[in-house]
Amino acid sequence: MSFISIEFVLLFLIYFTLYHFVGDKGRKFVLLAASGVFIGYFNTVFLFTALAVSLFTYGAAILIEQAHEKKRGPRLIYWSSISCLILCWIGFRYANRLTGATGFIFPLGMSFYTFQAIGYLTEVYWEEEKAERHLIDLLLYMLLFMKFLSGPIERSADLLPQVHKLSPASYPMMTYGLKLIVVGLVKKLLLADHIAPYIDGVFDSMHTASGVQLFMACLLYPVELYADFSGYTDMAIGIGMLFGLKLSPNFAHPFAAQTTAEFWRRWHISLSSWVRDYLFLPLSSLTRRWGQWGVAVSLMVTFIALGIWHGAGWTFAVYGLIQGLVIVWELRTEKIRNKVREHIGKRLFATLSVIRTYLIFAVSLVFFKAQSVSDAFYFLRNISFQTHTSWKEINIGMSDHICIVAGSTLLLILLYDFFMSKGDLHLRFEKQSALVRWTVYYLIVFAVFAYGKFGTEDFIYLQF
Amino acid sequence: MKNIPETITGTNICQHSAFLRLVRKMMLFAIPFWALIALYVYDDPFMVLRKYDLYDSDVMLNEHHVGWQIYKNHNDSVHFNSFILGNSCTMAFRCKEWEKYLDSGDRAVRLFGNSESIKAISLKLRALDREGAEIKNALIILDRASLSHFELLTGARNMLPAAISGRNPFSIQLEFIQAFATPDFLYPYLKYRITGNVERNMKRMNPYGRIRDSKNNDAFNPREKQIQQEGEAYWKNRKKEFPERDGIVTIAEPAIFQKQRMVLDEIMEVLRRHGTSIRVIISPDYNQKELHPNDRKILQNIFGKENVYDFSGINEFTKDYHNYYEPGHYRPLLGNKLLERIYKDQ
Repeated sequence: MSFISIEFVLLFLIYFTLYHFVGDKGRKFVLLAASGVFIGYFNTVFLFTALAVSLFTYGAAILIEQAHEKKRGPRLIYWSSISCLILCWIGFRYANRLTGATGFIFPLGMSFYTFQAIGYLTEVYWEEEKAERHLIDLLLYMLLFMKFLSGPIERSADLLPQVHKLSPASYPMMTYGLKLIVVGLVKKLLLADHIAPYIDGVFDSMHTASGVQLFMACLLYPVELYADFSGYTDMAIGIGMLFGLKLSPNFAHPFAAQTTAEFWRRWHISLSSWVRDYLFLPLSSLTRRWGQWGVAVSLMVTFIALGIWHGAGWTFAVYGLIQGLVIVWELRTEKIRNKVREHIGKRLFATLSVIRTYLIFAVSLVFFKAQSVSDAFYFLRNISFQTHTSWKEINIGMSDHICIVAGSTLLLILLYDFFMSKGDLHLRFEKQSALVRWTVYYLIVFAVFAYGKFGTEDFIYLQF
Repeated sequence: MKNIPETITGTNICQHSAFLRLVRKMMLFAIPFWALIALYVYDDPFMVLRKYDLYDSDVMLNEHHVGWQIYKNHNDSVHFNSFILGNSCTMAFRCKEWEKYLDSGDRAVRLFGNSESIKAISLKLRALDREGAEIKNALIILDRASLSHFELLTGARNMLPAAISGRNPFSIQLEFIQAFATPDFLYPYLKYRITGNVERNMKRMNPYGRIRDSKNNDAFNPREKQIQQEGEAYWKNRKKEFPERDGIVTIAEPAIFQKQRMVLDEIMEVLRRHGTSIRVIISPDYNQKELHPNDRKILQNIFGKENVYDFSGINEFTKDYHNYYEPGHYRPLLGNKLLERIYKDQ
């Protein structure tokens, strides 16, 4: 069940209403039931897998805590638990490759809740967090339906306290959540889903596409991915707010980043901060003796792992490798770049840096999107400004209507991101008169209603 | 997001009041949308919510839906066993004319679609098969564009009805409502609703009146009437529409690749099962671009050499501009000649 399906709307309406008419204890059961139905609707096996991982995590955390108290082998229990979780995740992820069969389906959301479980166990092991004794609370932390499929990957310190004291949202929080949902729908239905079939078309037929089509598909794919994934995240956070929950932000206007390192502090924040805290920092402390080389090795390992998290295959490893290499290169050339900035001026340097960062990300995403590394190299080798017949190929087959709808939406989203970076646009907008507010609400909702591309329920990050 | 008031930790009355306030506001906000949906349901402008005896409308309808409904409406009494399939060029082939070349008692219906893709043809044949129809004769009208499209077209005018595509009927109806709400359609439609007149510049509206036979979906092209009224001046006054041909043979890019071939095989699989008498016509293109020889060969391999008739390129049919309404469509006058040609040896 996707956020933009009629089934989800019905599920949401039922459980949202119930949530506001039951007592404090009932709310947890309502949310848990909603999450169970949401996950089980896809496939009951997905539900059982998620429950098994959650129960395992619940028990492992208590055992680690008890071992700490008794000072008897918490390290062993911790590493065994982490190994079990990782092996289970790898087993499902690579099941088809390992067995040669094609019948295994990777459970939806597994990469996300496994990482959440590892993060939680690590916090308990580091004695930063207490093991959760209330099973229902831990199940909610692991399975909450709004963040189950594609995150954000929540930290136990952020979400568990909210789950302990579930309360209905205030009216301003609910309206804020609704606005986020609409922003998500705009990103997904007016931009991502409109351009996706054409970008897919170029990638699917890269051997017959012209150089300029490959170039455009390469340039547009980051936009599609951002609109799709941040649209999903906006909806997830918005739905969370309707239930009085504050989920972590996942994006902070990433295309304004001037370096790839900065980009990763703004893109898929919950994952990049997770790998920073639980992989990069421990690795860095291990390789401290190697100086700069230690940092470089830690970065490479971290980003390759981040790439592999996305899926089985060399393409994702290369995707991560490129990010790691670029960040290492950025670290090594900081002085030179500072000199260039002084030479050409801050503003021009910033503009060029933003473009450079975007282009590097776009090129790396060719590996993320392509079926094989050789396909990705073929794609990149053949990018040019050459056309087969005419310059019209630059629209990669999109009609004028789609170009106008998607182009205007992209502009709107970039403006929205820009104003959000200057302060909370939603809260500032609240100060406008009701006439202005409602006119804008109607225009946006009507645009989604009339021009949105309904019918596609998939989100790109569902596959991960 | 950091500054907004978070959760209410008050009494139950407070909790309900925030929720009820939201529900009230939402209902108020949705009134114009409900009004729009009510108008849509009441008017059924695309004639897709209810069944009708006649599919004549001032709105341009979805031809797949209309063709299928005409077939369903009359099949019990007429027992159609012959089907004209393909793109809008099927308008040149009248069912009654075709029936002259078929066995007595054979009855034809036109199930076409604008810019029809071969995938749509395949799904229509499968739907007929599921319905238990006898597919005795099939006249398939193709051109390079329809051969190259192996996927279904989208949008309210081009999507297939649920009975043919197997899609969720609800999502199909949602697309129709969305098409209704698009300003391009909604504003002209509301104007039409108020004035009762269809103006020529109104998008997606039909200013021509009756454009199809309600029994077999034959097309009545309003341009035929214009030709009768204007005579030779029809083409002289539309020189821009009918550019001069240079008489040089040009060959179109190949259209049939792996995926198209699979769809064509699907079509043949249904026709083979029914022992259908097949005629595949490649339309005589005004621009005289010839179908790529490889494509012709593939079609002949799949449907049989004797069943594929390629009228593209420079030939007696494409030379005479009088055969055309405009470069994209030819007249029944030419359709009749083509039928005569393909059935002459019979």
